[in-house]
Amino acid sequence: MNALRLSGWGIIIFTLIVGLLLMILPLPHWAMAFRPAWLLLIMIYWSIALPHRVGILTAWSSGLVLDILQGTLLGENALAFALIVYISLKMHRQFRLFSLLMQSVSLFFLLLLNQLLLFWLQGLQGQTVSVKWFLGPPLVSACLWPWIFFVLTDCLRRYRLY
Amino acid sequence: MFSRKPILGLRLFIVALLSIAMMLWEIHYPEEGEKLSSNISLVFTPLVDSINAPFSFFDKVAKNFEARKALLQENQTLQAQVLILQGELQKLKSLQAENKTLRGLLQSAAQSHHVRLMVASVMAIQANPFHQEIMLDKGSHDDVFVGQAVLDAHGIMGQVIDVSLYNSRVLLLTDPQSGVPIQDNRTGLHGILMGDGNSDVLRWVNVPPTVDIKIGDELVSSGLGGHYPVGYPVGTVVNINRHTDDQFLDIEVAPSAKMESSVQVLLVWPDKKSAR
Repeated sequence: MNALRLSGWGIIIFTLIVGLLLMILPLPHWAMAFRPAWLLLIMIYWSIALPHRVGILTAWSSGLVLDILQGTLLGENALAFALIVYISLKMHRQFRLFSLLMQSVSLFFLLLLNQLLLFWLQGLQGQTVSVKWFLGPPLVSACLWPWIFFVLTDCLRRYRLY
Repeated sequence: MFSRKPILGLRLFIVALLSIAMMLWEIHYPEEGEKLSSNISLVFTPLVDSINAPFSFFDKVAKNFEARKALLQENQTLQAQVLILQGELQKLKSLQAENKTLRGLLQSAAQSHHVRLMVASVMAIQANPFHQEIMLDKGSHDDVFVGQAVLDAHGIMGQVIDVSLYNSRVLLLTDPQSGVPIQDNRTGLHGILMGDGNSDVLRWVNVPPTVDIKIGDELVSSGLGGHYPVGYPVGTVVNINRHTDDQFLDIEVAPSAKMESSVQVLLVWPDKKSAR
């Protein structure tokens, strides 16, 4: 039982690391504005699928690692991650009942909130932020959600993580 | 299930507090924050390397398959370039010698006027609307002191506000906290120029609308207050706005010194007799 739990964590951490790598993957300049929030998407999936295992602390620490790798202010992404995952933990039962399309739409709003939080925190530091492609990442992320959902659900079933 | 709810909120609260504390800490101590995150990011270098590995691999493969002909051609152009560069190097050497003698002259001229000058290099520039500062590579080891004036080839740049052993921080004239006493070259009118946060604008403050100031007037330091030396160029009047609802003129001055592009600057030690 214990070993199974540990191996489960291995899979979850592996997917998170893949998400991290996708976040720092070098992209051409025009594509930067449309980079989906991979790590946050994966984090939200786990918090909805396994709310008893993956919680705010996991979200916070992965946000912190992202802060370090992206060179943003320590705690910026961490705070946003914690808040978003808190919301998805709160509504994970409703979320599971949604159709895939509905899930994508509500995810869009969650990611919009994340984007707003980040812009707000950066604005507080006095950085000038361009709002030109503000909707880019949430939109692309929402479109990617069904695919992430299937891949991670496959992971869940195959490795019996629940 | 029911006992979970308050715990969740509490956790979020603690974590949010922690994040805010970290952000505030990093804003207030940016250097230490930089150090910490660069140390932690060492742990993640394998991750970053693994991301870069395929790119560098394809780069290598592509290079291996580069045609021999292209390589030969490259070799030829490179050899031609070496020749050209060697010629340039000769020129550079003579320029270097000339520069040295000129510097020597400058030093001796300065000594004959009992004013000490020293050349310092700019190490870092910090220009955002809130702080306009530069770092120099000279410090208390070289007798730099707080309040000392800093010039570049075109005029006064600012004054030293912080000195460590081998570095000093300079507040530029364009910093909102900076003020410099000046005199109009044409009319002899005294005044004070305040920084504005922009690197190319100073403001002449508290000027009543009746005085004689024209666009193009050269302003030099008046030496009042004892911080800045007398008679160095500070700026040129570029714009005079009269607002009917304001009892003072809004006068914009372009600083003479190149605030953001100077690489070498001069530190000035005032002549004790004339300064005090």
